[in-house]
Amino acid sequence: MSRLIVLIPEGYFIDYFVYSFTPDAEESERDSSKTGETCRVEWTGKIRFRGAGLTSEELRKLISKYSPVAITVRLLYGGEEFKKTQVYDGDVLEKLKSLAVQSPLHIPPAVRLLRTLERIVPTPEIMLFFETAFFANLPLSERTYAIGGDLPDYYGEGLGDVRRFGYHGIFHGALAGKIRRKGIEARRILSICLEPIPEVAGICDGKPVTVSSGSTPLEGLPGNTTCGEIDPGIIMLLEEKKKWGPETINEMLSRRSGLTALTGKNVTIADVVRGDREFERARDLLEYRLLLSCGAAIGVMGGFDTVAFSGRYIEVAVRLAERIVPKLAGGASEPFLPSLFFMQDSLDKLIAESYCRSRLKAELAY
Amino acid sequence: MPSGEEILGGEVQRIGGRTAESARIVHRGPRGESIRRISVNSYKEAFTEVMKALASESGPSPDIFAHRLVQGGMEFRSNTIIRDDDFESLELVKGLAPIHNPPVVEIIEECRRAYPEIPQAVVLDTAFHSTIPSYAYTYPIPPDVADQLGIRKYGFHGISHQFVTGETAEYLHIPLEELNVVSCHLGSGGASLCAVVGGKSVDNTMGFSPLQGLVMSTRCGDLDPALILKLIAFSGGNYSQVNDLLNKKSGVLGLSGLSSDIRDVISRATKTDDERAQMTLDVYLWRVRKYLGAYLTVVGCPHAIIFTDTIGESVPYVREAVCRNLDFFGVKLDEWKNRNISHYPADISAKDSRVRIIVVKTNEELAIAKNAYERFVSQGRRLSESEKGECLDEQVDCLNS
Repeated sequence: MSRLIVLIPEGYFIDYFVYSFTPDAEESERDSSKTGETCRVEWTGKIRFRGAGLTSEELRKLISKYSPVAITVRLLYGGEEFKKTQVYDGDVLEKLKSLAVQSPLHIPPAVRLLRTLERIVPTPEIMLFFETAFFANLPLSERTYAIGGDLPDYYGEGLGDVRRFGYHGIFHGALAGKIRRKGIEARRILSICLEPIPEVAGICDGKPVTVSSGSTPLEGLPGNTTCGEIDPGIIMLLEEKKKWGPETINEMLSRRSGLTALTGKNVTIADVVRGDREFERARDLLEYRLLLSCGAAIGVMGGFDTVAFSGRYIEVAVRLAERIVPKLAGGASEPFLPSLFFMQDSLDKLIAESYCRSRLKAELAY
Repeated sequence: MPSGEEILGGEVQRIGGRTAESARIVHRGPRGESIRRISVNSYKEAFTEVMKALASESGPSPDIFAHRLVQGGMEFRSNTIIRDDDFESLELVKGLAPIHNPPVVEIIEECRRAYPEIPQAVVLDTAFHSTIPSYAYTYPIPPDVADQLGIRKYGFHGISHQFVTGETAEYLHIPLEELNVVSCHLGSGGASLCAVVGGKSVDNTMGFSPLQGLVMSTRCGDLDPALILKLIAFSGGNYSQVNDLLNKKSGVLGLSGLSSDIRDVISRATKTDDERAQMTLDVYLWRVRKYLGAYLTVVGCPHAIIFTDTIGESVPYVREAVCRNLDFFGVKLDEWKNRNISHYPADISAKDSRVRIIVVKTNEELAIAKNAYERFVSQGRRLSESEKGECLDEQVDCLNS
C-alpha cells in the first residue's frame, strides 16, 4: 500500500489530503470487472486536513509522517503551455513562471509552494494537475474571441494567450472518463459542474467542444459571488458614470455579484437550489442561465445523450436535474429521455484516482 | 393601417460635411429615384431638405411624424405619441445610445418647432423586448449599482424582430399570440437573435447595449468581462481605446483583418485557402449556432426559425451552415429551396422538418409606420380631441401594458 498527498491551493489556503492506494495491476483488473474502475483509492480516514498557509516546516512534517510516493498539486491555470498532467521538474518551473503574468493570482503562490516542496529531501515525485488542460484543444471556433487580431501590438506580449479555457477540467475530464469506462452509451455529454463558479461543458466523443467559462472563470454562468457573462458595454458605463478603475470593477464583479448580489445574502448555489420561496428570483436566474449554456452546447453538438453532474454541490444536483432536464429534453423534436449521471467524488479523490490510474498504466506497460 | 404601400421615400447620406464627398439626398417618388447633392451640416438641416423634397411632390401632407429610437432606457418602455413633458425624458435618453439617439432628439425638436400641429411618435427598438422576463433581463451585479445606472438587458432590433414575427404568423396562418419562433436578424452591421413565445419577445442576444451577443461586423459580441478589464489595465486605463477596439475594430473585421462584411469573408474562404478567412467564418457561424441552440431550447419546439435582414435574407451559405446538423431540434433545411428563393417570405425547410425555416424581408420603415399608426389611433386621436388629463391616464395605461 502506498500513500499519496493531494495538494489543492485555493486562495490563501492549501487543502491537503492523504490517500492510500493499491496500485496492484492484477487486483485492480479483477476489480474493474465489477465497478468499471481500473483502480481504487482509499481516503485514509482521519487524515484529511485543511490548513491555512502551510509553512515549509509543516509540509516537511506532513511528508515525513506519511512518506508518500508522490505529491500532486492542483493548478488552476496552465495556459497553452500545459495540455496534460505534468511531472514537475526544473523546466516546468521555468514555464510556470512565464505564466505568472497571465494568471497573477494563482501562479505565483503555486510557484512558491513548488519551490518549497522541491527543497524537502527526499523529494517525492511531484505531479501537476491543471484545470485548463482538458480544454487545451477546444475547437478553434469555440476558443477564439472576436476581437482585433493585433492585440499584442496594442497591449504588449504580457497579455498572453487571449482565448477561451474551461476551469473545471479535472471534474469534466474525470466524468467523461468514468462514463466511458462504465460503458454508458453517451456520445454527447452535457457536463454540469456545480462549484462556486458553475461551469457547463459540451463533451463529444470524450473531447470538450464548448464550455461556458472564458479566458478567465468570470465569464459564463453566474456563481456564488461572480457575475458571469455581462454586456461589455456595462464595464464602459461603470467607468464613465462611476469613474471606477479596473480593480474596483473587478472586485465588484468577482466578489459582490452573482447569487450574493441577487439575494443580498452570503449564499451558495446549493442554498439557492435548495431554498424554496426565499431565493426564488436567484434560482430562476441561475436555472435560466444554465438552460442557455446547455442549449448552446446542444446547438453545437447537434443534440445530447446524457446530462452529467459533478462538483462540490452535487447534493443538490438531483433537485436541479428535476427542474432543468425536462426543459432540455423539451427542445427535442422527438420525445426522449436523456440518461443522467451524478458523480459524487470530490476533486481530491478524482486527482488521486487519476494519479493511480496513470501509475498503473505505466506499470502495466512495464 | 389602411395600406402598407410606400408613397415616397428616400435617404439623406453623409450628413455632417466631414466626409470626402458632400452630402446628398436620395429621393424615391412616382417619377423614380433621384440623387441630388446638398449642403447640410446637421440632422436638423437634413430634415429640412427632406421636407422640401416631400413638398415638391403632390400628395397628402403627413398626419404624423414617426421616429425610431434605438434605446429608450427606463424612460420610454413602449412606443408612444410624444407629449410636451416627454422632452425632458428625451434629453435623458440621449446618452444611452450616444451614436443613435442624439440625432433623433435633434430632429424631434425641429419637427416640433417647424410643424407644431403635427403629432410625433417614437417607436423603440427596445419596446418589443419589454416582455423579457426578469430572470433573463437581470444582470447579477449589486442591485444598488444596477438600479442607479439602469443596468439591465434592454435588447435591440425589436422593430425588426417584431415585424418578421408578425409576417411569419400571417404566412404560417398561426395566430400571433400562439406563435413561437427564434428570429435571426443577421444584418451587415449589427446582428441579434430573438426568442419569441406567444408572439412576445422573451430574450434577445443583445443586452444593455448593442455590443453583447453575436459576432458582428466590427463589434466583438460576448467577451469575458475580466478580459476587458485586463485590456483596460494593459492600455494604462485607456477606456476609450478599449471601447473603440471592441466597437469598431473587432468582430468580423478584427478577426479577418480583411473586411467587416461577412460576405467578403465567405467569398475569400470558399474560393481560396485563406485560413484566417476560414477561421473568421467559423467563429461567426459557431456563435450563431450556440445562440440558436440556446433559444431553440428556451422556446422548446418552436413553429419556425426566421432569417432576416441583409445577411439573413441574401446569403444562403449562412442559413445552410447555421441550420446544419440540427435534426435533434427537428430543423431540416432544403438546400435547393434555400438557394432558389424567388419571393419573400420563403419557406426553405425540408418537407419533413418539424420546424419551418422562413426567410422574411424585414421592413423597418413599414414597421415603424405601422407602430406609429397604431399608437396614433389608440392614443393620438384622443390627444387632439380631449383634455390633457385624460390623455395622461391613457399614457399610464400603455406604460403598464
